Formats: sequence, structure tokens, C-alpha cells
Amino acid sequence: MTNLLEVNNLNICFRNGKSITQPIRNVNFTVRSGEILGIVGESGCGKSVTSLAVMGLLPPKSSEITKGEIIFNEQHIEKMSEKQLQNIRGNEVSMIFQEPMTSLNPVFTIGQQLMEPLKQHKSLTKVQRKERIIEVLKQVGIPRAEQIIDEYPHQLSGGMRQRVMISLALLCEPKLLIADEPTTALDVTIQAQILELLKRIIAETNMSMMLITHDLGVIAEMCHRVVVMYAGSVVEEASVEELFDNPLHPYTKGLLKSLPSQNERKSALYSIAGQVPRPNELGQGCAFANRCEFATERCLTAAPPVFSVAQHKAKCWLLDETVGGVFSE
Amino acid sequence: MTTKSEVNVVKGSTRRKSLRITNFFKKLLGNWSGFVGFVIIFLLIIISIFGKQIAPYDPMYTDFTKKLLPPLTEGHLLGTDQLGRDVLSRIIVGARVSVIIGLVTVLVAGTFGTIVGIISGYFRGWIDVVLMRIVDVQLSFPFILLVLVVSAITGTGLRNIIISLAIGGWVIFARVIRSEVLAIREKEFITACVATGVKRSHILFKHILPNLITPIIILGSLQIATYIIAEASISFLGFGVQPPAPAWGNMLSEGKDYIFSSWWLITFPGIAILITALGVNLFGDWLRDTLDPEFVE
Repeated sequence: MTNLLEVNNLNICFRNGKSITQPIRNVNFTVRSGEILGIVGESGCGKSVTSLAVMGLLPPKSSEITKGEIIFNEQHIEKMSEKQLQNIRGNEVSMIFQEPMTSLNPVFTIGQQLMEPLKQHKSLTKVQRKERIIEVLKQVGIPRAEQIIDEYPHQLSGGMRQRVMISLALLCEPKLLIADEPTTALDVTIQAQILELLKRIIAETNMSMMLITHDLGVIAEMCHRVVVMYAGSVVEEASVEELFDNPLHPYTKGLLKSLPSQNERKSALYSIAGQVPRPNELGQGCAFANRCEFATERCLTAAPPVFSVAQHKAKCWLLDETVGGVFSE
Repeated sequence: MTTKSEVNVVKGSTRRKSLRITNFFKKLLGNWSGFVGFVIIFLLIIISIFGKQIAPYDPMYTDFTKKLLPPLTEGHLLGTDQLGRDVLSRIIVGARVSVIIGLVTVLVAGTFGTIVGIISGYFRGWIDVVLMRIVDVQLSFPFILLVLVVSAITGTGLRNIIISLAIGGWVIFARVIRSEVLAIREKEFITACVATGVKRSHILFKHILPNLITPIIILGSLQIATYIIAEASISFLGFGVQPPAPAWGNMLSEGKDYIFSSWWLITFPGIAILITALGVNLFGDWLRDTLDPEFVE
């Protein structure tokens, strides 16, 4: 499998007046063509910032990619001009946002909004565009698509709006779809429908997807591979089966342990003590050391490198050579 | 089968357009305040176009044998003034000045203010700081005082009154529109637009501007009334439309000397201003509700 997207050693800085924070530190991951990559982590781990960086959507004045590269389809996204980015966005890379209620412009009909990316990226006649829109709306499971295109966003329910957002992202048949918590704002039954829909579309087309979520259940259901992020860096990367069967990083173990189980309902739910440190609170050691039950002296003084065990990578001292981990990078 | 649905789709959109126009009038009839506002504005426009033909007398014709007649005497429905001119005719002919000033000023001030507001709100940075400080300075001045100063410089006459009112009035548009743009540009649908590869200029004019129509209409309809009243005020103070040409403001100004003996000289032009302001506000209010897609149905 070829790599559609490669993020190498990415570092991003935010500037706010004089203070500089670094929410993303040395992030590495790849998305292969045709696969669904899950990115999971608590709030404030840098999941969304990473996805915005891939789209080139970071605010240009207050943020900066200080180091590293984002290679999409052999093109360097971080070096692109605004104009080149416009050609890629919505055309080769699309994004689905978290809030379907506010992601559509309230003064335009659905049809008018769906026209936009087609006008921008494809040269089709008006009738062809309309046909394509109706086709995609039907593909995402919207009944009576011919009528929906003349309706305004507020006339649709949340689930319908998210379907419209998905069709907006699919219109130009992108190679990569970034879904930033696509189902967080929806209720559970609709969530399942939307996820099922996304999975089906990915399987039908040869699209790749980056699914950002904090919900491990969604990850287990949807993804082929998983990247676990913590405090702005990737702490573990593995295939989905491997990650759930044999988590290596204590943070991942904690996340899995904190899921409610169907069998035991005796005690309070497990939670990892403490909070994600803010970017400016990070010291020299491992970012997770202050919350980790296995932390040793070494964890507090030196940040762990990435060790890999077969296809499984994790950033933790517990996996060093003594247990057979192979130092990578 | 596809061709059939295609034809239906195209037909649907044209039918929708004509439907929209009939719907407009249907809704207008269903809402009494909007309807009243519409009728007032419609009549005003008719009067200001055909004023000279409608007026029962020549508004400039003086007849000293018939001066200061009270209303409903000798064929003068609203009486005559100190020079024996028919008050009703003067109000009818004077309507044109008010309507032109109200509409043209709102267009000029609104366009300029909206452009400034959009630039300020969308691009932010130093340009925002500079423009908004200018607005701040001007807002700290009383509106009427500023208009008076400017019209003292530019001189009298319809064009100069409009210029001075617009100079006094654009700041409100700039400030309100800027704050609206600030709110809209951070909305997720704008980010979603950028994420679909839409150009910046396109986002500004096709996505942000249509969302501004509601505040522009509300503000514009309120401001029309303000400008009509302001014109009356500066005419009253002697800087506006010069006598003997009839305008509601200078009718008030001339009539004030006779306020105790001949009440009709200031009452009727005053009522005309009141009704105009009311009509514009009622219609603007209704238009706002109708144009906002979330208010429909």
C-alpha cells in the first residue's frame, strides 16, 4: 500500500501576543490509500490542530509550522501558497466538521451550497452539477434529494445536515476525507447510521479517511489503524486489533480501562487521575509521567523515544530493549 | 428517466421564482403592520413623483387676502400660511425632498458604511484599528451638530444636504456591520467554506454579505427615518432647503413663529414626518422578518 498522506516530525507553534505555545510536538503518522486511520485522544491533545494543518487551515497570523513536513500525494502541503491550497481543499482533501448545525450557511439553500465546490473545482454545466448533487445526496442516504436541494439548512434535522455536510465533502471525489468528530453532536442512533454510511462510502470508493474522535467505541468499529495522541504528540500507533488486544502505552491502557464494560456494573468508572498538561507546562520528561502509574525516575528526566514491537509503535520507556522493543528513529 | 427528473428540476426552480413574488404579496397582506408600512411608502413615492399634479394649488402662489386661514376654510383643506399659500399643497410638493433625501442618503451612507464595516471586520489588523478609531472619533460628536457643521461648509441645496447627512451617518453602518462580520467570520460554515476550497473574495461577497442583509435592512429603515427628521431639523435651523421652496423642515421652521395663533402651520408637516418615519419603520421591520429564511413559515 502506498502512503497517501505522510506527516513527518510536525511541530506547530501558536503565537498569542508575546507568549508562544507549542501544541504539536514531533508528530509522525501516515495514512495509506484506502484505509481509515483513527486519531484518538482526550480534549486538548492536538487532534484537531493536526487535522487543520493537513488542510492548510491554520490561522496564518497566529500559528506557524516550525518544523516538519506534511506530504499529501507527493506534494508538500506546508509549502503551498493559498492558491494551491484552494485547488486541493474540497477537491482532493475534504473535511467534515463536528457541528452540523452551524456548518451550513443559513441564508442559502442546500443546493446553492453544494454547487460551490463543483463550481470551484470542476467544469460542469448547470444541469450536470445538479445531477451530480442529487446523485451524491442519494449516495449519503437522503430521501427526496430533489426537494432537499431547495430547502434551507434550518429545515433539516441534525442527522440530515450532517449527511449534507458529508455529501459536500464527497462532491469532488476527494482522495482523503478528514472527519473531525463527525458524530459527536448527534444522538446515538444517528451516530451509528452516519458511521455506517461513512464506512460504506470508504469501502465503495478508493478513498482514505482520517477519523478524529475521542470515542474508542467509534475507533473499534471503523478504523484499520489507530494513532493515539497525548499532549501534542503521538504516543502509540498500531492496527486496531493490536491496539485493543495488546495496548502498550500506559495512557492507552488507561483509556481502554476507562471504557464502561457491559459485564461489570459494580464500581465507579475508572478514570486516569489528573489532566492533560498544557503545552507550556511540559518539562523534559515524558508528558504522561505525572499521571502514569508505572512512572520511574527515568520518565521524569528524559522524554522517551519511540520503540517498536513488530508493527506496533509506542513512545514509552517501559518498552525499551530489556523487553524486546526496537528503538526506532 | 434521468432526463425526465432533470426537466422537472429545472422547471421547479423557475416555478419557485414566480411563486416567491406572489408569496411576497400574500405575506404582505397577511401582516397588517407590514401592509400599512408598504401602503404609506407606496403613497409617499407616488406623491413625490406626481406632487405637482396632485397638489390642489400652486405651492408657491401667495395671496395676502387669504393668509393664515384655518383648516377647512375656503377650499383650503389644511389652511394657509402667513403668505396665503396652501399648506396641503406645500406638504404634498415638499414630500419629494424628504423622500429623495431619505432614500439617497441611506444608499450613500449605507453603501459606504457597509464597505468600511466589511473591510474592518474581515481583514482586521491595522486597517481595522485605523478605521474604527475614525468611527469612534466621529461617534463622539452629536450627529446633528456634525451635519450642521458639514452643511455650513458645503452650503445649501439638495445635493449638499445629502452629502452632509451621509458624512454624518455612515459611521453607524460601519460599526454595526463590522460587529456582524466579526461574528459571522468565526462561524463554522465559513471555515467549512474555506475547507471546500472557496476563494477569499468569494467567501466575502457570496457568503458573508448575504448574511448581512438583515442588519443592513433593519438599520437602513431606521436610518431613513432619522435622515428625514434630520433634514427637517437642519431646514428648521435654516441650513437645509431654502425658502420659498417647500420642504417639511422649513415649513416647521417658518410656522414656529405662529405656533400660538395658527397651530396648523406646524402640526400638519409634523404629522407628515411622523407618518413617513412610522411607515418606513413598519415596512423595514416586516421586510426583515420576511427575508430571514428562519422566519419563513
